Amino acid sequence: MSECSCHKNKIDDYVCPVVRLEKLADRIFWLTVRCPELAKNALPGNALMVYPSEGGEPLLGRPFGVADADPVRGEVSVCFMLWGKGTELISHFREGVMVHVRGLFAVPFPDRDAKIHIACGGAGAALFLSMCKVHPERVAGLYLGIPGKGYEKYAERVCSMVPGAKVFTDDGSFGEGDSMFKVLPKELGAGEEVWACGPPGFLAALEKHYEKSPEKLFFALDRHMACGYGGCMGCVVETKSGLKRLCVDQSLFRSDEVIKQ
Amino acid sequence: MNDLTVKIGSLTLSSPVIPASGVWPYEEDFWRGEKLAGLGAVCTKAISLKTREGNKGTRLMETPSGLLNSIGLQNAGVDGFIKKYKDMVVAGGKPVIANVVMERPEETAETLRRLADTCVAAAELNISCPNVDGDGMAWGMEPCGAARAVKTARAAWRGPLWVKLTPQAADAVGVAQAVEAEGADALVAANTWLGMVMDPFSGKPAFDRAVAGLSGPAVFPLALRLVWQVCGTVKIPVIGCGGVTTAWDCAQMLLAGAAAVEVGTAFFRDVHAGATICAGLPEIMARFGCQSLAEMQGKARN
Repeated sequence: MSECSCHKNKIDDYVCPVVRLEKLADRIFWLTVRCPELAKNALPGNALMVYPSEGGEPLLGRPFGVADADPVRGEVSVCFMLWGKGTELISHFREGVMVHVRGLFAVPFPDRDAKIHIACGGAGAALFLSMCKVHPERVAGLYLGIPGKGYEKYAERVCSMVPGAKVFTDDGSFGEGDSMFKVLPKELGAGEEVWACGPPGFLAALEKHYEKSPEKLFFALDRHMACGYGGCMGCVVETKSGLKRLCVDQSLFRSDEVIKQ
Repeated sequence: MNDLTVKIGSLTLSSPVIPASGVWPYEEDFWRGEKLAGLGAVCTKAISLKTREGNKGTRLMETPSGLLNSIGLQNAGVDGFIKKYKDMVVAGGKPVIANVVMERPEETAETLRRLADTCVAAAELNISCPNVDGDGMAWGMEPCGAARAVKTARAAWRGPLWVKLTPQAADAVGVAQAVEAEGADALVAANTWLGMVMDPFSGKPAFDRAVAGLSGPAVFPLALRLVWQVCGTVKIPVIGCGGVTTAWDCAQMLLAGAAAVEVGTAFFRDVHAGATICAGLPEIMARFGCQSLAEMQGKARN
């Protein structure tokens, strides 16, 4: 394990200090660590793995998309939802504590000439925040769906990084209504695409919304992952063009190319 | 300078640590430079005669100090291996151990024949995969099946032949002895342990095949016991495999009689696990007054 000294775009393990851990909602946290090499090399779509403990339990790291990278400060951030024992332990990290991180992996988002509408549920927005920051000219709009009360700080964080982001809350307590589907453009013009990340039910609703143009709807997906470097073959997504590993083969999938499990 | 070299039959390895099959990726970065530090050899992912897609559905589930996997031998087939990966893995400079799936005898014999000119240092016959039906582990469950598999492989492969055992065999010692009798050059004890887990949302088995292979620190004491048992009954080298994570784990396997270790899940926590383990061995060797790992091998049995 090294102290932040790997080669560009080569996966490695690092021990690095926690800069801050912020609670942005009841179950959503924002973790920033100082790791200059990762911060310098991170591209939109990249991911890293945070290990909850230095012992053997839990055994594996937790993979998160890079939400923000600041090469000047040498800081890289991920945003995660509290889901189980691993994320519970990470949510108790304290400033200054040295933690084990693996990165960078996951293929950067494709750099094509398209205007992108980003539709996200919950913490799924974090995956796209660095792209909004690095390539604002490519983003037509960001639509965020969250439960509502208690998620104000998370919504503020997203809106601070993506001015003009539209927030929708299930309970209608704030934002622009209770459903993004009332405003998310159904007819997409030439060169327009929708990129999405969120829970399965949300992605299914998007498929229904864009049933006439599935070729313009793209998903960032989630799978159990062990290694992050292409070895274990655990994080595969079954597509019409074969099995793709999330960690090294492909990060973004056309909705109609994914074969449902 | 401590001597970390080990001998496995005719092969001399610079260290006792070998990434187990299914762990080391076919990525350029892993076959050159510092990621190879501390490794005595590298075992490939499983190689079958034809391409295999592997298993559907969930493939991984974490367990307390362990990992269940149900990958199902996904691989590009022997021709795909030769075409896409052979040059890269051989150029890495480490001895390459080709993990070969025991399928129907004529299929495995053909796979081995096609590997004959690929410069791999040894073939590791996999009679122990718990994640496929009909072949894999089925060959390794009984001495007679294991013997037939090894006889087939021995006839088709002139190089060093290692055989990876299954811990599910009721008579693992009998299987080991049968494998030795048919001409294997080394044993790997062992593959993953059959386990299962329920999906917390469906209340059904998490894996499509219900069962999966357990690895990681949780299985180390079981694997060590198996190595202890097998080493006392065969003369060919035994490679310890199962939950080896630390230098002390490696040393325990050697003390029990293993000649080397295969390391799997530990790489998921430490991509430099080979170097980490090797770095810790000299202190342990000094503790037991050993100048070489050969001196440590089997020391607990004396």
